[in-house]
Amino acid sequence: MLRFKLFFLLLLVSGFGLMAQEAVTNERKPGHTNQNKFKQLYDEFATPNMFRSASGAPGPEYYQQQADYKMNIEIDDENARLYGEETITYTNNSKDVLTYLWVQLDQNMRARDSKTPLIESSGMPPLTTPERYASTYLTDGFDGGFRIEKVTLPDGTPLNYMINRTMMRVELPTPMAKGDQFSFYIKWWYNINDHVNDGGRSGYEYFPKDDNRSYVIAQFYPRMAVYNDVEGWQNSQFWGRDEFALPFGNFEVNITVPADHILDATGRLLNREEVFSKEMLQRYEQAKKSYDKPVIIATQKEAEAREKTKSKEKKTWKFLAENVRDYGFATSRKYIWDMMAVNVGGKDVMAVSLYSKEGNPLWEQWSTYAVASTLNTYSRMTFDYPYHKAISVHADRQGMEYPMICWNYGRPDENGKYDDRTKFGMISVIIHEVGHNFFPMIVNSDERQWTWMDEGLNTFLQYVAEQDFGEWYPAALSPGQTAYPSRRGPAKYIVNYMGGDQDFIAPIMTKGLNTYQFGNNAYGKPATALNILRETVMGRELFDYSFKEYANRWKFKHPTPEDFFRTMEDASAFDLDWFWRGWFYTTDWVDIGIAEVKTYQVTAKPSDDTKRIARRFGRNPDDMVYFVEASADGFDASLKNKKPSEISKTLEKYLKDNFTKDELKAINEPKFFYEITFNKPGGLVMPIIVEYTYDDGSTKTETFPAQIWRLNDKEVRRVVASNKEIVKITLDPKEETADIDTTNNIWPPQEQKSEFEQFKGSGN
Amino acid sequence: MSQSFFTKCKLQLLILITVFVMPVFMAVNKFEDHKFYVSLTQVEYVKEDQSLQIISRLFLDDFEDALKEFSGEAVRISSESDDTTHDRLIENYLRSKLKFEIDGKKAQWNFVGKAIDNDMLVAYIEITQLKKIKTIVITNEILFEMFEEQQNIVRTQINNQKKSFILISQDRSKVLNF
Repeated sequence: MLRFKLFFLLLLVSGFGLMAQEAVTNERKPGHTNQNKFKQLYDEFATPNMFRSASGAPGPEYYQQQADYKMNIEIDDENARLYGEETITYTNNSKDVLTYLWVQLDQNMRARDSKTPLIESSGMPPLTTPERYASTYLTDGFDGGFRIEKVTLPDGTPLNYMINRTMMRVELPTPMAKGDQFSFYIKWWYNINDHVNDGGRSGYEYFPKDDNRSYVIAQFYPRMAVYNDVEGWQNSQFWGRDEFALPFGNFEVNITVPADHILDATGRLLNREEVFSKEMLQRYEQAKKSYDKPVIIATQKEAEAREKTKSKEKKTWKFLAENVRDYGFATSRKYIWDMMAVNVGGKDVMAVSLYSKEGNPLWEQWSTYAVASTLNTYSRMTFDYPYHKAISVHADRQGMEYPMICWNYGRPDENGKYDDRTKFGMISVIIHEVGHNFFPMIVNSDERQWTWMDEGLNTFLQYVAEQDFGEWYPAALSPGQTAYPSRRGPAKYIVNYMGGDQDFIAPIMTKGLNTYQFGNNAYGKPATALNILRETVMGRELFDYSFKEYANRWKFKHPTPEDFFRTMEDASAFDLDWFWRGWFYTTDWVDIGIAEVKTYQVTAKPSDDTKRIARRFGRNPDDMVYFVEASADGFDASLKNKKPSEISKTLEKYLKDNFTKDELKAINEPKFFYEITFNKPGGLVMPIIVEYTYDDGSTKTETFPAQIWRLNDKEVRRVVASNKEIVKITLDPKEETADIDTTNNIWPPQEQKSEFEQFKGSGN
Repeated sequence: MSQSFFTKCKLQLLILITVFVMPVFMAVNKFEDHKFYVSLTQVEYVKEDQSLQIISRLFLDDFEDALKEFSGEAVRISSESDDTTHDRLIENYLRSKLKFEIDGKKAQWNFVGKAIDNDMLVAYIEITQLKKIKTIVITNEILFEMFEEQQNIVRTQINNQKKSFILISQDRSKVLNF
């Protein structure tokens, strides 16, 4: 009973009762559903099932399909055309019976009848160039769609098929049951686009000075779509920006190019002796043993000699790639080639760079080191890199990833000069694209639906890898820099976006094609959210374990967003539903402030009102310890440095009666009491990180978990007892929560210089 | 892929292929991670200092393309904020695009300086000796000549009133009365 009464007493005194009183009104509010920010995500998440477990791991009935390819490809350099034939062997591992297959025809995005340009709104320009006028109004423009010549059984029997823009449905002669395999043959060609002038993630760059093309080729073959337990056939059309969803399989690929080309591709080169010169073979043997320095396999001098002539001969490069989800290659007579060995988990991987002289001196300096460094960081954070090589190819204005190979921008000017923007732009894009080997090439999420699942996770690890790179290769940093200048990751860099115009912000959980500010939405915000989880909410130990668990559970499989969200909680005992809800399902932002700070001291002269409270609950007023607020009557500034037990007789007696002398000695009595009111203008719940600065200049930081907001989303209070006077309170002192308005983060409030005044005052 | 080049790359070049929305003389292909052609200009009147303080944020790569058109020469703005090589050119460009008329008179502004913030250029501009503002006409035509879909967001804080509006190439000025 006593306890019950005391509870009410405390309620009253704490002010909670006061708020309850204010809420008393004659009008009854309507009822409502559960809007609590900590409500579990049962409504948003798919129900766990035998395919996908509630833990976030693949379930006992998890399956995935397999697509194996045998291809012959030829590049016609003179006409910039690609000719191909392939036999796809598709394995149905699902219990579903399939009556047709869907094949992706990505190049049809560039067909004359492509609808891609038609989904962009347009306006009349006041003027234009004659070239553009002609290409717009007078000619039909570039036609880069697939020319499908044959779709047949391996014996040549034609198959029925139908093309719906970038998707082709192939009718199966007999339905496929579980375990069935079906092989079919496709023959095609297409015009290769100029990726520099016409855009695209695949294509050629033309170099007018030496009349040569460098090709970076991908999405060049009809590719199997994914069939799975979540979406059935993932046959969402390719509009151009959204990336891919692809099944795993083995690729045997023969690529025929002019004999003077240097070529590299996804997979193991099977006929090295046929396509390498003797010198190249020797240098390659050296490179396999060189762990600290790249070895040049094809030199700049050799490349410059090659680009002066054009061989009429052809050469066929033969590759075998196992357990990959896609295929890409790069070929040119302009290429310089270097390689270095990297030991990843006891196994040697080759870090490889392919670039023309236009990329030098930057590329020979840093590309291969960036590849090696990335493999080390990502392997530490996920799993050992499972393939035998990782290639970085220099291609102007490109930044695109495929298994084992990627294209990257970063080009010095014509005199070989470059500034920090070019240098760090290049290193960052290499780290990013090589990192994509892990997400989504191996942890194979559905990019077409959820851009953030590969771009966000990858940009997060890119930040970790960039910081490692700066540490491991300090020579890459510019004078005055102590760390790698990452553009994404730290919380403060996302503030402008999250605090921006709500009309142009979409939740992260939005199909990539339909987001505004793609870069911030799918790369910056999820990367920052994960970084905040790691550094601020969960801590590195819990986060890293869980993140690694996710990567290992889903490597060489197809995860969904829930698989990620659930695993992060399952492996850490950290309920993060509130975090996913706020950061991933809404466009809310962080803004937490200090609304008020009241100072109290223990007093021997309580007011009559206060004593009355004691009496009302049946307590003798003389048995209580009383506090008085600084602005109230009875507050005595001269008692500032006195111990409360010297002020309150009641307290003094209680201590004497209940503690031994030794115990009393160990007690460091607080003298200052503060009641801090935190308010939350922002919609996101976040931990409150508070730094107290004491009168002796020392500081202490205290963190209240986000759950402090569970019963009141607008305002919470905390009492802080201290034996030193607090002279300043700062919220989020290290800018780690992405708080969009820091003017309310400091007590006592300080006149803060505006951004303009700060700039003007800095001497500019 | 790197967003840094593909968002705009994809959309833009699709747009370019069909050439609907056409940047007039722009380089055909653009690669950055902002799909979105947008600038933000904050305008604050600090009465006690008789000062109108303007901060404009623009995407650096778009801005470099605009300077190239404007000056006829390729311009590469250094990532080092204290490099002032191109400040004069930046100032001249902004003068031709960003205009203020206050209480019926064209207002002269001072170029205080610029800073680089990641992929953004931040320009600081000030109009001084401004005792009061009853009416202000803000014209912001930055990058309209480059991108048909350029949007210039302006946020003002004048005489204790906060206002926000978007200027587009068909609607280049806004009149605010206090």
